[in-house]
Amino acid sequence: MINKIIEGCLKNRFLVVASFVLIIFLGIFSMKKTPVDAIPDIGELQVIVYADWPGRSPQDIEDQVIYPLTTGLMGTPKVKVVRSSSGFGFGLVNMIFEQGTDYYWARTRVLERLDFAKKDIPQDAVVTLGPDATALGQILWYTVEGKNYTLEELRSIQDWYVRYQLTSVSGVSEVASVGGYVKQYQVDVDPNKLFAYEISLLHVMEAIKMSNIDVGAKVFEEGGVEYVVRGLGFIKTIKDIENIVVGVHEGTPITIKDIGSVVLGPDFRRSVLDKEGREVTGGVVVMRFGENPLKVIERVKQKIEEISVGLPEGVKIVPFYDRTGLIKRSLHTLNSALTQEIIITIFVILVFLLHFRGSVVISMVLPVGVLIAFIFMKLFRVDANIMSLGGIAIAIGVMVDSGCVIVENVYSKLVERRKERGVEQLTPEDRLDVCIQSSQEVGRPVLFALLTTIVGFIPVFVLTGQAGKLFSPLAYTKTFAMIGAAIIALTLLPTLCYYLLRGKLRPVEENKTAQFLRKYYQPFLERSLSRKKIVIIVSIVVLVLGLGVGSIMKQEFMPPLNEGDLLFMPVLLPGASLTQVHEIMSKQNIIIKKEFPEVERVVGKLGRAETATDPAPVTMVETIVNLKDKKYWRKGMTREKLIGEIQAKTKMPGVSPIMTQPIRNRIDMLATGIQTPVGIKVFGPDLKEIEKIGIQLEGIVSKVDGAVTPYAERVGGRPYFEMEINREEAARYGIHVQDIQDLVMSGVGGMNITTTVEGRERYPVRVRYMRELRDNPEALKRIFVPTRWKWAKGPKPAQIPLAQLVEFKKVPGPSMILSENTMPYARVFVGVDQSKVGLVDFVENAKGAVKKAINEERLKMPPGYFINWSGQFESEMESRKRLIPSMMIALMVILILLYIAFKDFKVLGILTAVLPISLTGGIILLFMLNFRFSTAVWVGFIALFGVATDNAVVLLSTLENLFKERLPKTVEEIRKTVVDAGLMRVRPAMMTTMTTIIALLPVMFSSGTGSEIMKPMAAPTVGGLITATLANLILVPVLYSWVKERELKKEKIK
Amino acid sequence: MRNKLFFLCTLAIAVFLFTNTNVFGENIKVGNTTQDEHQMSDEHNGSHADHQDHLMPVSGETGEISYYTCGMHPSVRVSVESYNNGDTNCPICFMPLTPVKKGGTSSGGLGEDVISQVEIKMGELKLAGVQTEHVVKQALYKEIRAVGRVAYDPQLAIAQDEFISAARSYEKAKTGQIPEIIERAESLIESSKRKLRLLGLNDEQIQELERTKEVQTSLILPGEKMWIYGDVYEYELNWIKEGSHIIARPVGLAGKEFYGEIVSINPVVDPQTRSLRFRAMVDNPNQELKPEMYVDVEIMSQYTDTRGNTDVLSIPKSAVLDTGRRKIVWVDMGNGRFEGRRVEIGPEAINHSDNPKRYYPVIKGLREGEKVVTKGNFLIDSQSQITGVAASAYGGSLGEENKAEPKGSPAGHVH
Repeated sequence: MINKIIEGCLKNRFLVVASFVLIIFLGIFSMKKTPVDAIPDIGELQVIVYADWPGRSPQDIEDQVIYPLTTGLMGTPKVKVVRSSSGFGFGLVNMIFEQGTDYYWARTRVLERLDFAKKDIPQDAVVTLGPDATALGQILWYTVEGKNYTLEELRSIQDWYVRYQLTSVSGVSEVASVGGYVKQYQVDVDPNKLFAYEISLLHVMEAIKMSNIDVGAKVFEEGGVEYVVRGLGFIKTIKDIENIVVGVHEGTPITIKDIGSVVLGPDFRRSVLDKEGREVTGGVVVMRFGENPLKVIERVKQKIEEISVGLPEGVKIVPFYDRTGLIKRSLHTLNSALTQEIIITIFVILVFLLHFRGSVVISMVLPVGVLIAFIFMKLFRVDANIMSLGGIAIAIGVMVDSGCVIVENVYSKLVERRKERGVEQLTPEDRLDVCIQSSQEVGRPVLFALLTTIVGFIPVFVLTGQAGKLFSPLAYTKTFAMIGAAIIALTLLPTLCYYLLRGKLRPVEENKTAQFLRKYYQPFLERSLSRKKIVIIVSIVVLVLGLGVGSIMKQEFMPPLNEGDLLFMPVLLPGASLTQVHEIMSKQNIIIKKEFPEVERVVGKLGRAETATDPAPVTMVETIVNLKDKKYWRKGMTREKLIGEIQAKTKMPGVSPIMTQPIRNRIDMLATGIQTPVGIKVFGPDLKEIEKIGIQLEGIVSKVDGAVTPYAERVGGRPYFEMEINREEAARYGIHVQDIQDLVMSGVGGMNITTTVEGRERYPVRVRYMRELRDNPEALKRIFVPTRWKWAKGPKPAQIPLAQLVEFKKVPGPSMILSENTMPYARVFVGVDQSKVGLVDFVENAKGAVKKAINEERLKMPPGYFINWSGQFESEMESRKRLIPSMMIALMVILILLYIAFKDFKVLGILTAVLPISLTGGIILLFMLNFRFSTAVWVGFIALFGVATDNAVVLLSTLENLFKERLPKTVEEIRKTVVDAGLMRVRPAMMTTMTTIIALLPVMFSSGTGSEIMKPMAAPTVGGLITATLANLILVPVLYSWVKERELKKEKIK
Repeated sequence: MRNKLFFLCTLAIAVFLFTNTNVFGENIKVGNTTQDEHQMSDEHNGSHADHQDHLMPVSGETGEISYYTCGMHPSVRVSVESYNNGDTNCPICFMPLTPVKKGGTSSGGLGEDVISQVEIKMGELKLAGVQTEHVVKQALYKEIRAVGRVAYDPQLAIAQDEFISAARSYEKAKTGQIPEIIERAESLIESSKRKLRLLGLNDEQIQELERTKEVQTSLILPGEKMWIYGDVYEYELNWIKEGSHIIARPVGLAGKEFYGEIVSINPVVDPQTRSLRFRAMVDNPNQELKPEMYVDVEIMSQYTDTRGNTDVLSIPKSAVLDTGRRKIVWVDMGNGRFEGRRVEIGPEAINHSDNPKRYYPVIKGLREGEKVVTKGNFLIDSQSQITGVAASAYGGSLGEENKAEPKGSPAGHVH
C-alpha cells in the first residue's frame, strides 16, 4: 500500500505538487477561520435556568421556586446532574448534560420540561432559560460614562440604547447591564394619611395599576377617510401619577399627592460599578456558545464605534476588560515560539545534513504540516488556543523526524547510485527509480514511528473532566500535526527530493558534522563497552536519584496562566451591606489607581450583572486592574511584588484581599462541587439538621488517620429579620395571613406594580411606605393592617398595627442554599495527607469510621438524610481507572509493535530499559527548573514516551542487521560491530533528538502569556530526551553487547 | 583520559543532584527553628503585655503566619504545612487562601461578656473609616408616632356646659338648704361628671373645670390652646402617660410644629379602631390650628432605668451589631485594639438636641467614658472572625436556639 502510494506520487509529480498548493491555500483559509481563544472552555456542558423573584430571601426562593422547578426539570433526557443554588432575589438551576450532547438540543429539552415545571411556582417569579453561553463567554466589559450626566441617565442610555445595539452584533448572546441606577417612579405613601383617610395600601396599588393603559378602538370612517381610534392613558409624568384618584373623603376626591409623594428615584439595586472611586454604569457582553471570541470582540468594538456617534454629547463607552489582549498575547507567544522553532529546526537540519536544498526539502514538512493540522482542526472543530497550538509546538521537533529519515535515505542512496554508475549526474529515470526505492525502504518505519507516537498519546485522549477538556485539544492537534507530517513525508518529500536533490552530493562520510561526532563518540563508546558494570551502576544511580527527586516534588492541578490583567477580589462576610461594600471598593480603587504607576485602569464591580452567568453576591467585589506595559513599570517591579503591594496598601479589617485573574476566577466559580481530595455531602430536607450532621462528621473524620483539617460547611451566616405571624392574634382581629403579607411585601419591600411606556424606554412604578416609616424595626411596628371585616358595630374596618400581629425577630439564616437533584446539602471538606495514606484507602477507612459511629448511635441519621462521598478522589479514581489501563494498553501496543519489528524479547527488554531512564531525565530537569507535578507535566511525559524509544529502535535495528551481516565470533568482534553500528547511527540519532530538543528551546525560554503552561509540558521532553539520547548512545550498545557476549560465552561452554 | 572525563562528569552530576536535595532538606530545618523562635518571642511578648497593663494578653503581629483562611468562609482553616503542600485554595469556593498572622486576636482569659479581641493596624483603621464615640450618660426619649385630629367636640363642650350649670345649680341649691334640691343637684352633678369621665376627662380636669367654670370653646372654635385627639395602640401604652410631651405637626401646615402635653387617656379601647384615644392640649399662639385638622403627633416620653434615673448610659444605634442571638458592641481599647462585648440594651430612643440622634440605653456591658465603634464595626467584627477566636456575629450555626428579640418589654419605665 505505502509503496504504491509513494510510487504513484513520484510518477504523478505535478498532481502532488498541485494538490499541495491547494492544501496550503486550504490550510491558510482554515487557519484564518478557526475560532481563537486563550484557553479551551473547560466548563461542563450546562444549561442554566434562571429564576428571578426580586426581594425574596434565599429560603423563600428555595422553597417556592427552585425546589418545585428542579423537581419538574428532573428526568430531562441526557442530564447528568441537576444542581441548584438559591440566593437573595434569584435562583439558578444548573442542568449538567452528558458530554457530547448537542447544546441546542439540550436547551430545547430543558425548555420542553420547563413548561411543565413552571406550573407550581408563584406567578410573579420570572423563570427563564439562561443565555446560550457560559460564564467564560463574558468577553467584554465596558463602562458608559459622561460628565454632567447622572447615573440614572447613563443607565437609561445603557439599557435602552447601547445594550440592544450591542446585542445585535453577530455572536453576542446577551448584553447585561451592571451598576448605576435604574430610573423609577417612586410613590411613597404615608401610612398615617392612609389611616386618616381610611384607604388601604392595596387599594392605592390597584388604583395606580388601573391608571396606566393605552388602548386601540379600531377605526371609524368619515368622508371616505379611515381614522384609527386610540385611547391614550399611559403614565408619562410624575403629575400623571400624582393625580390618580384613590378614594373620596366627604365628597372630595383624594389623589395620590394627598396621601404621599411621587418622585423619580433609583430602583433597588444589587450591583455597583466603580471606576477609580467614581461611580459609573456599564455592561458586559456575553458571547454565544461556540463562537470565535476574537472575532466577536472585534465586531462588538466596531459596533461601539458606530453607535458612539449617536450618544449624547460627552457620553463615552469605554471597554475596561476584553480578552483580545490576552488572546493576542498568547497567540503571539505561540506564534513566535512556532516560527522560532521552525527556523531553529531548519538550522539544526542544515548543520547535520550540510546540504542546503536537502534541508529545504525537510523544512517543507513544518509549515505545510502545521497547515494540514489546521485543516484537521477546522474539520474536527478544535479551536485554536494555548493548548491546541501548544500541541503543535511540542510536535514540531518530532514532525521533522520522518522527513529527515526519508531525505537522508534518498540522499545516501543517490550518492551510492552515482558511485555505482560512476557518473556525476544521474538520468531522470535513474533518479526517479532511486527516489522510489529509497523512499519505499523507509516508508514502513516512518509509519511505524507515527503509530507509536499516536498510540502513546491515547492516555491523553481518555482523560475526562477538566483535565480532559484542557488537554484533549492538545492531543488532537499533536496527532493532527503528526499525521500531516507523515502525509508530507510519504507523498510530497520524495517528489521534492526528485526535484531538488541534484548537483553536488557529498558522501555521508565526508560530512563535517558526522566526522566531528564520530571523533568523540567512538572512543567514548569503546571505553564504555569495556566498563559495562560502571555504566549500568551509573544508570541505576541516576534512576534512583530521579525517583527520589520525583517523590519530593509538589503537585498542582494546572500551572496558572498569566492573563495580564489582575482581578482583585476583596471579599466580605455574608452580612455586609451594599453601602458598606461599596465604600470599601471605592476607597481601594482610589488607592490602587493613585499609588501604583503600573496601573492603567481600575474598575470594580460589586454584586452581579443582570445575567444568569453572574451569580456573585453583593459582598463580592470583582475589581479588574488593567496593567500598563512592562516598560512603564517602576524599576525592579514584578507582577508578584505588585500584587503583594496592592494587597498590603489596600488592607482593611474584615476584608480578605484575594488576588486572582479574570478567566481563572470564572473557571473556579464554574467548578461547582468539591475541590478537596475527599468530600462528604450531607443531604437532607432540613438545613439545620444537615449542618448538625456535617459538624458531627467533621469530628468523626478528623480522627481517621491521614485526615487534614476536615471542615463542615456552616450554612447560616446571613442576618435575617423575620416577622412571624401570630395566628391567634390575627384571628382575633379577623385578618388573613395574606393581608399581612401583602402589606409587608408592598409597604415595606415596595413593589413595582406597573411600567410606564415612554417611547423606547420603560420605567417601573413602585409603591412603598415612606422611607423613615419602614426602614427600621420600630417603624415596622406601626404598619397598619386593615381588618377584613367591619369590626364590631362600627361602620369601617379597623386598622391594626403590625406589632400586634407579628413577632419580630433577628435570626441568622442561610446566605445561599445549594442542592443537588432537588435535595439540599451541606458539604464536609476533608484534606488528606497522601504521604501517610492513599486516597482510596483513606476513603475506605473514613467510611468505616462513619458506619461504626452510626451503629454505635454516636451519629444519628434521621430518616430522609443520607451522605454521599465525593471529591477529587472520585475523579482521581476515575482518572486512574482510565489513565492506568489506557497507559498500560498504550505501552502494550507499543511493545507489541516493537516485537513485530524485532521478534526478539531481549531487544524488547533493552528497549524497555530506556523508558525509565528518559523518565528520570525529565524529572531531574523539572526539579532543577522548580516546576511542580501537574497534569501538564504528565502530558509532557506521555509525549516523551512516544519519542524516547524511536532512536533506540533505529539503533537496535541497525545492530541486528549488522550482526546478521557480520556474525561476530569473538568479544572483540562483537564490540567492534557494536561500535560500528553506533557510529552509523550517531549522526541521524543526534539529528532527530537535537531537532526535538532544540525545537523546544524557544518554548522553554519563552516568557510571554501562555508560556506558563507550555514550559512544564516541554520540560519532560527536553530533559527526558537528553538522558534518553545518552542511554541510546551508551546504555543500549552496552546492554546489547553484554547480551551478545553472554550468548557467546554460553555457546562456548556448549 | 577521556574515560576519566566521562566518569568525572557523571560523578559531578550525581554530586550536584545529591547536594541539591540536601540543601533543600536543610532549608526546611532552618524554617522550623525560626518558627520556634517566633513562638517563643510570642509568649514573651504576651507576658510583657500582661505586666504592662492588666489587660488581655494581646501580642502584636509577629509576622509569622499562623494559618490560612478564606475570606468568604472564615471557618476554613488550613495549616501552614498543608498550604505549603499545595492546599492553596479554599475547598469551598476554590479561591486563593489568605494568610492569618499570629497574634491578631486572643481569647484566653477574656471576661464573661468579652467575646473576642482583635488588633488592627492604625493605617488599616483609617482606611476602613472606623469611627468611635464615647459612652455617655444622657437623657433619652422614646418617640411614638400617632395620628390625631384637632378636636372638634361639641359633645364634650355641651357636656362641660351641662356640668358647669349643674355645678352652679348645686352651689345655688346648697344656699337654699332644701335637702331634696341639694340631692337632685348632687345627682345631676355626679351624672354630668360621669359623662365627662366617659368622654375622656379625668378627675383633675373635672376639678379644674369645676374651679374655673369655663367651657373650653377651643373644642369647637380656634383658640389659644387647642385640644388634640390622637390614637395610640395597646402595645404603645407602656410609653404613654398623662404629662408626656407631644409635638403636633398639622398635615396641612407643612413645617409647623405645635407643642403641648397629654392631658388624659381614654379608659376604654375603641372597638372600631382597636386603639385608645388620648387627649392633649397644645399651644396655638396664632390660632393656626383649626378644629378637625389632621395632625401627625409625636409623643416624647423620657426613658428611665430600673432605678428611676433619667440620665442613662447610652450608645449610638449604629454601635450595636444585633445577630438576633446576641448584641455585640466593639470597644476601642486604644492602640488599634478592639474588644467585642456582649451587651444588654434597652429600647431604641433619641437624645434631646436640635438634631436628635438614635441611641440605645445600655443596661449591661459598658462603662461610662469607654469608646465604642460606630462606623466600621462590621469590618472589625468580620476581622475577628477571619482571625478566628470567636465566630462572634454571623458565622454561627443554624443549629443553635434562635432567641427572639424580647417582644415589647422595655427595660425601664416611663414618667
